[in-house]
Parts: sequence; structure tokens; C-alpha cells
Amino acid sequence: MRGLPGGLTRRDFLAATPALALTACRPLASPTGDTVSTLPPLSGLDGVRRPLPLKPGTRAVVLMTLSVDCPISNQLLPDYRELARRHAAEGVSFHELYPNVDETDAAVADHRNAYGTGSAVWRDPEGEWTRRFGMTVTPQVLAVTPDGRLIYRGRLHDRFEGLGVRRPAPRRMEFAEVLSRFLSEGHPRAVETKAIGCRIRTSPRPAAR
Amino acid sequence: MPRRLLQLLALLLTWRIAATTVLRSVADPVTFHDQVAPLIARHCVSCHRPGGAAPFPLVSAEDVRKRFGEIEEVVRAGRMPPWLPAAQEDRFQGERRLSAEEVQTLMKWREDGWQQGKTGAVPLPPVVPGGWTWGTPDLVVKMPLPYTVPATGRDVYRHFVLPTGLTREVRIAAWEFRAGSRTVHHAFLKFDRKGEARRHDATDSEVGFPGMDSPSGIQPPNGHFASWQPGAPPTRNPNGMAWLLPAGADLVLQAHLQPSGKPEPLQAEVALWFTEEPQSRAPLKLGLVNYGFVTPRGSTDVVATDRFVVAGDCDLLGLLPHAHYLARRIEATAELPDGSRRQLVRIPDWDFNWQGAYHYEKPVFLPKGTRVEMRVHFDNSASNPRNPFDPPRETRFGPNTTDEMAELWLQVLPRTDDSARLLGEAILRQTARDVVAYNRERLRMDPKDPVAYLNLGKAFLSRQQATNAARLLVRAVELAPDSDEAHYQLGLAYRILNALEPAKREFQDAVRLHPGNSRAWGNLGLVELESGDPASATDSLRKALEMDPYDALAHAALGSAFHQSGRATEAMPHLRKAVELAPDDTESRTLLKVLEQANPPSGKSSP
Ligand code: HEC
Repeated sequence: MRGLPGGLTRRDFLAATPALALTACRPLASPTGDTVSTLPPLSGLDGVRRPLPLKPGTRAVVLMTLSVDCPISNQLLPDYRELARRHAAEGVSFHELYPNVDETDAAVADHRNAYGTGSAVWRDPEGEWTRRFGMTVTPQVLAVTPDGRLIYRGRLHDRFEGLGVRRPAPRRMEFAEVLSRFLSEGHPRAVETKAIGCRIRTSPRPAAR
Repeated sequence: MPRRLLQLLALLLTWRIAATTVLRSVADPVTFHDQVAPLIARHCVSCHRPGGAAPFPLVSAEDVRKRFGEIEEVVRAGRMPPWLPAAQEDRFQGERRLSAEEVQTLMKWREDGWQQGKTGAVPLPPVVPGGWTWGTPDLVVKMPLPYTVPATGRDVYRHFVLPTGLTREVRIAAWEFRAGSRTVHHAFLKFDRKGEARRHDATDSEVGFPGMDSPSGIQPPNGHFASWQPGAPPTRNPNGMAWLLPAGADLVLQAHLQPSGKPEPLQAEVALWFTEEPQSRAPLKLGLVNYGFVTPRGSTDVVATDRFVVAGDCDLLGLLPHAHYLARRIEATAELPDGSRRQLVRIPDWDFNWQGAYHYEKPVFLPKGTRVEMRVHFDNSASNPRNPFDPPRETRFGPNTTDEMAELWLQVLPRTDDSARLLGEAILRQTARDVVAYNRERLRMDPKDPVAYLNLGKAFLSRQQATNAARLLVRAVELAPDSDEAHYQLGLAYRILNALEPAKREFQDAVRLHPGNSRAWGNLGLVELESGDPASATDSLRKALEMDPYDALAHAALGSAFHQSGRATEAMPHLRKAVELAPDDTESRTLLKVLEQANPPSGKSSP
């Protein structure tokens, strides 16, 4: 069997990401010295598609999906930003992604005025990330290594157990646990949990028969 | 024979008609305009409209379509529209429930390809001019300063003081709550005559003070629940059931707040409409409470029960179930004296976030001798999705969010004065029993809990067991020497035991620790009077009445003190007030009569 880029065998790759079709490539160096990952590009609020700029030594790329009018992603946003502050110095690159195609850039800008700014903000107009990484709802956390191996996909924590089933406080910080373990162990375990939130709207739904 | 044939034909015909209408409706595509919009208008838009209580509107076809996945989930699970009780024979006002056919219609809209039909959105409920439902209110009270609900963190349980500035007592016919922020998920409207809430509020620099349950002086209106949740309509009290808001009282909001993701200022308002009509019907509240239950780790069906035998004929107007996060089901039944049973309420999937009061469409008659039973089922296993702990922990009764509760409050209207008296006495007995059970439970958890000693002491005092009470209250004072309430209650016990000097010392300690404790001033005055010092008594009693002009006993004592100092004309107004406030105070009545005969109204008053 031919080895995949990044030293992975296909077996490893399939074991780590059973349901995902990741294209994992060895990180390249950009002219500025930043690592340009071969993860799919995203669009900035200026509408320009670009690869995620990653500092040298980046160990994990983390993003959370957001919507301008999903009460659940709104509620979890400060907790995500707090986590980002805590781990920023540990080689983790945090991002915020607005995947819904029907939300305008202006609506996103308004949302950031209301809820403040945190990590780098992205749109995904072609739905490349959401499709490729199987993201279905906002909020949903995705953590991958710069070469695209899955560390975590699921909920930030368990404050919500279902739509309309909400705890007075989270009891388990599931993603924080996985991230800490990854940072100490160094190898991804592809942990998945069920994210609770609003369905992502990637492209206009085709009309029914 | 031909008759039977005709009947058969008629039957077949009606069946055919029924069958064709069914076929028609299955075949016709569901459109937004014809079926979906009216359904959303009836069941959702009261909250899901711009500026409404829900976090997003469901008005246009696009609004509904883009959230269809979520709508399907919450509607199938019965979580939206929010309504906890299951359908039953005795219906509640304002029930919110989708029928199985309505759910099907919604789902068929998707199957039929999201057809719009005629253009148009969900009709919105009419906007009330000026914003208040019943026109210009007689009084609008507002939180004087905004409280900032933090962006994230645990849910917040907090009380807010809303001074009314009322200089006269008023009767409240109706009230309306305006949260002004979607963070308020539940609120009780209460009031406080003695500044207790203000005292609590002053203990830190933030607006309001914390607590999932209110301190004892902060009470809901007598006989009413005054409960609010998102989307609740404003409350108009039934005729003759206006409640009294005393002069100078503060309104107190006890609120459950849910952080929204950004800091949110909260400055809630309450509108009040007064009435001059006197209260002709006084509802009472009966509490079914279990203080002794334990839910071991992993247990799936611990049931906390309580029973109450209705002591006099009454009509059940409404009820308020209360539990925290581990409760899964709550049921209440009535067994009537004729042996028949009625389901009063059944909540199959309890959700603390949507707790509230329910009022019957038609009152339920409970004849004397009816046995009411409450059953609260707890699931303390990891598979309870609302369990705050993972792994589960043993949980018991207690006031904190991490404790549990099992309560059901009934609002009843006695049918006769005699039933009212019997019910009132039964409630007092029940309360004393509950207080003892509750505080024994607290002492079991913390043998040095001064509040438990204090409450037990009070319960024994109410049972006329002053010696026992004094023993417990001495312990309360030892454990909490700065508690004016403990000194005050110990003073009462000593006074009943006729130990006037020790009683005086305790009351003096109480007013030194809290100069605003009007009852301590009043009792200090009484003891001074009893120990033959009417001059000091006059001062103390005047202080008591400045703080609480409705204290009948203080009026009676001050009248008596003036009388003993030979100041009859000053005595009489207080005796009159005492008799007015407490018509059964025969002592004051007799003294007043004697003084009035000796000092006819035309007589000149001495300076
Ligand atoms: C009494 C007010 C009220 C009514 C009526 C109501 N909702 Fe809601 N709804 C809310 C509130 C408040 C929330 C926010 C979540 C919460 O507080 O539980 C919500 C949340 C939702 C959510 C998002 C789920 C979540 O947990 O965030 C959906 C979907 C929803 N409602 C659909 C509906 C539909 C469909 C109807 C009518 C069939 C309806 N609602 C009727 C108040 C209401």
C-alpha cells in the first residue's frame, strides 16, 4: 500500500476518520514563514478565499461554527473564546466560521458588533469545510491537525443535551478535555460527540419533487 | 326492514363523505398560506415574533423553512410550544399543544415541496397601543438600576427590588410584567413590607441579591401565585379577588436568568392596575411538600409524596408544581369522599426551565374530606438528560440548585366562612409540621445551622411550647450572635415565659443589631409596658409604628401606654386603629369604649 502524504498509511487514515473524506497533505511553508496548511481555503469577510495562515509550530487547528441567529451558538460563543484565550499560546490556532450561505456579510458584521470579536472569522460559501468535515449544525467544534487528521468533532460542552434541553451549567467540558489530552499526548484520537444546535444551511435546498 | 336499510344507506353515505374529505386533504398539497401560517399563528407566533419572548421569529415561510429541522425535532418531542401538563379532563387556561394532525400537516408541507400558496406571512397578533394590555396602568414600577446579566456562566437566580413609592395601600386588579430582555426565563412577583429585600440588596455592590428561594419576609401576594414565564399573558385577578399591596411596600422580582452569549442589561418593569372594589373572595394556598426524600446516586424512580385532607368545602382554582432538575414526572390526584378520583395535573416530562402556575378553565370542586396527593418522581441516573451531575450524586431536599425540591401548591377558594376557618387552621398545622420536618432535615445536614435552630424555635413558639423554643433559640443566638431575628425570637420566648428582664435584653439586642426591625421595637415596647415603664414603651412603640403602620398589636399597646400615662386623647386614635385592623381585639375595644365615654368627641384635648 502506498503511503499517504504526511507519513500516514491509508489504514491509519481510515481508522482515524471513519466517515470523513479528508485530503491530508504535508504542510507547506509560505513566503512569510507562516505554515500554510493544505486544509481547504476559506473566505474572509472581505470575500477573498485564502488558505488558513498558520504560525510555525501550530499543532492543532480548531474552529467552531456560528450563525447570526442561532441562540445556541450565541450562548456558547463566550465559552469558546475563553477556551481560545487559554490555549492560544500552546500552538493551537482558533477560528470562527459562519457556514450558512443565506447569511450576508453585513449580517455577520452586525453579529460581531453585538457579540464582540474573538478568533479569526471565516465564511465558507462553497460549503467545502462543512461538507468535507461533516459539519451539520451551529455550534459545532472541529479540531484537526495541520495535516488534516481529526482530533475532535462535536459539541463544545454538554450544556445542551437536545434542543430545548438545557442544563443550568455544563457538567463536562468535553472538547477542552480532548484538546488537553491531545496537547499532552501529541497524537489525535478522532473523538466524536453529538453537537446540539441549528442545522447548517449550505446551499439553497433543491425544491422537492 | 326498509327502515334498517335506510339507516345502513345513510351510514354508508356519511362514511363516503368522510372518506372523500380525508382523501381530498391527503391529496391536496399543504401550502404555507392555507395551512402552515394559521397553525404557526395559533401556536407559535405569540412568542416567535419580532421582539417576542422567543429568540427568533417564525413569521415568513422562509423563517419556518430554514429552521424546519429544529422545528421538527422540538415539535415531535413535544417541547414546543412549551407546555408541561398532559391533556386531561379538567382543562387549564391557555393550554398550548399541537395535535397529531397538526404535526402531520407541518411535515406534509415539506413532503409537498414547501409550497407557498397565496402570498403572505403569518398574521401577527395585534400590537397594543402604548404597550400595556389594559391601557394606561395606574402605576408602573421599574428596577431603579439595570442589572447586567453576564454573557455566560451558570444560570442566575436573583431577586430585584422595585420600590413602589405608594403612600396608601392599594388593591391590585391586574398586573403585567415586561422583562425587556430575553434572559428572563421565569419570574415570581412578590412583595416586602419591611425592607428585608433592600437589606439583602445592600450586602453587595451589584443590583439585586442571589437566591433560588426568597427570604421569609418576601412573600407572594396572599393566596396568589403571581408567576411569569416567557409568553405568559398578563394576569387579571378574578372578580373580587384583587390582592392588597400595602403602603410603602416594595415589589420584589424573583427571577431565573439565562445568559445569552453577550452581556445584557436587565431593567424589568411591572404595570399595575388598581381597583376600589373590596376583596370579597379570599383564596388560600395549600402546600404539599416533602422535605425528607433522598435520591441515591443512579436511582431511577424515587417518589416523593405528600397528602392533604381538605378540611372544608372549596373550589380549586389553580396549582403550581415545583421541583428542580432531577424530577422527571409530577402528578397530583384528588380522591373525593364518594370514592371517585380526579387527576388534578400530570406532568410527564418535567422541565424546571418552564415551571409555572396553571389555572383551571372551570374551578374543580373539592368537598370537605377530599384527599389530595402529590407524587414527584426523580431520576438520578446518568441517563436523565437534565441531571446536573456526571457521575450522579446523592441529592436531598434543599434550596440550592444542586439540591432538589418536591412541592405542589394549590390555590383554593373556600365556599363558606366556616370552610375558610377550617382550611386556615389546617394550613397552620400543616405549616408548623413542615417547618419542623424541614429544619430537622437542615440540622441533619449541618448540626451547627443557626437558621435551622431559629426556625425550629419559631415552630415551637407557634405551638405554645415556649420552654422548648427558648432552649433552641438560645442555641441559635450562640451560633449567630449577630442575627437580630434570633434575639427577637428568643425575646418572644422569654416574654411568654414571663421573664421580662431577659426578654427586654434580647429585644434591645435585636434593635441594636437592626434598628429597622419593627417587630422587635414593638415587643420591646410591650415588655417595657408590662414592666411598668409606659414612658419608654411609648417611644419604642412609636418607632415600631413608624416602620409598620399596620401593626395592630403595636397600636393596641401604644393606646394602652398613653392611657397609663394619663394621655387619653392620644390613646384613642391608636385603639381605634387597633380595633379596625384586628376586629377581634376585645381588650382594646373595651378600653376604647371606656375612654370614649369619659372623653366625648367635643371635649378639648390636652396638649
Ligand atoms: C410561550 C412562548 C413560546 C411559544 C408559544 C413557542 N415557543 Fe419556541 N421557543 C420559545 C423560547 C423562549 C425559546 C428559546 C429556548 C428556550 O428558552 O427554551 C424557543 C425555542 C424554539 C426553538 C429552538 C430550540 C432551542 O432549544 O433553541 C424552536 C425550533 C422553536 N422554539 C419552535 C417553536 C414552534 C414551532 C412553536 C409553535 C408550534 C413554538 N416554538 C412556540 C418560546 C416559545
